[in-house]
Amino acid sequence: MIKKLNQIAGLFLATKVMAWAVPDSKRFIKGILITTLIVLLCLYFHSEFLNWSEISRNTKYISTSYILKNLIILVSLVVLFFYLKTPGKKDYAKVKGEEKIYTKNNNEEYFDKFRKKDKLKTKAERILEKDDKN
Amino acid sequence: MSILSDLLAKAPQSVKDKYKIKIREKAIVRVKEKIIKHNKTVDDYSDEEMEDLIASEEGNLNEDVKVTVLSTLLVAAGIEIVAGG
Repeated sequence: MIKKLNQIAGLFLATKVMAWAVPDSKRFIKGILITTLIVLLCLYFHSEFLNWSEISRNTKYISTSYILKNLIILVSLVVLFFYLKTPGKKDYAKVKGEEKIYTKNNNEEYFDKFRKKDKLKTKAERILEKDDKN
Repeated sequence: MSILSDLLAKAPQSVKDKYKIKIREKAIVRVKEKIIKHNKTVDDYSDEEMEDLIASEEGNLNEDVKVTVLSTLLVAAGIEIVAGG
């Protein structure tokens, strides 16, 4: 029991660390999970259909079912590829009542210029820099 | 500050960048909270003033991280002494 709990805690922590280190890992895991689910469901329904066709001796649509199954798997893999290729929309932390600080001329993108700067300078640092130049 | 700077100097560039991005984002959140608290808008500040605000918050956050790291180390050392003694 304790081992299981330990494993769950370890998995949880590892996911948290991964999400911190690779922010896009959530998107990656989501894409992989959804594609796996689609493929597994497709395989399950296909095997069910094969069983049914064997019992009912209805072999009319068997070739179509194979084409459809492989097509679904292929399409889901292609969609997954493009989903992972396209960069996701960056979601920044929201503050309650944040919309009040923006005006018609400025929105959330206002802070992007500060995000992109390598090093931000305080007023004191700027004054010191000016003095150094003089 | 030297402990934190030493740690950052030894860390790989990708980790450094991630740390910087995290701290910058937290600093921006704190600045937003300050602006909301004082009922101002972003237009009330020039770019230089805003940069100064964010840079100061970044400094404060780095100080907080330093204090947290040091306290954790001290607590860990304390536990070890208590457990060992």
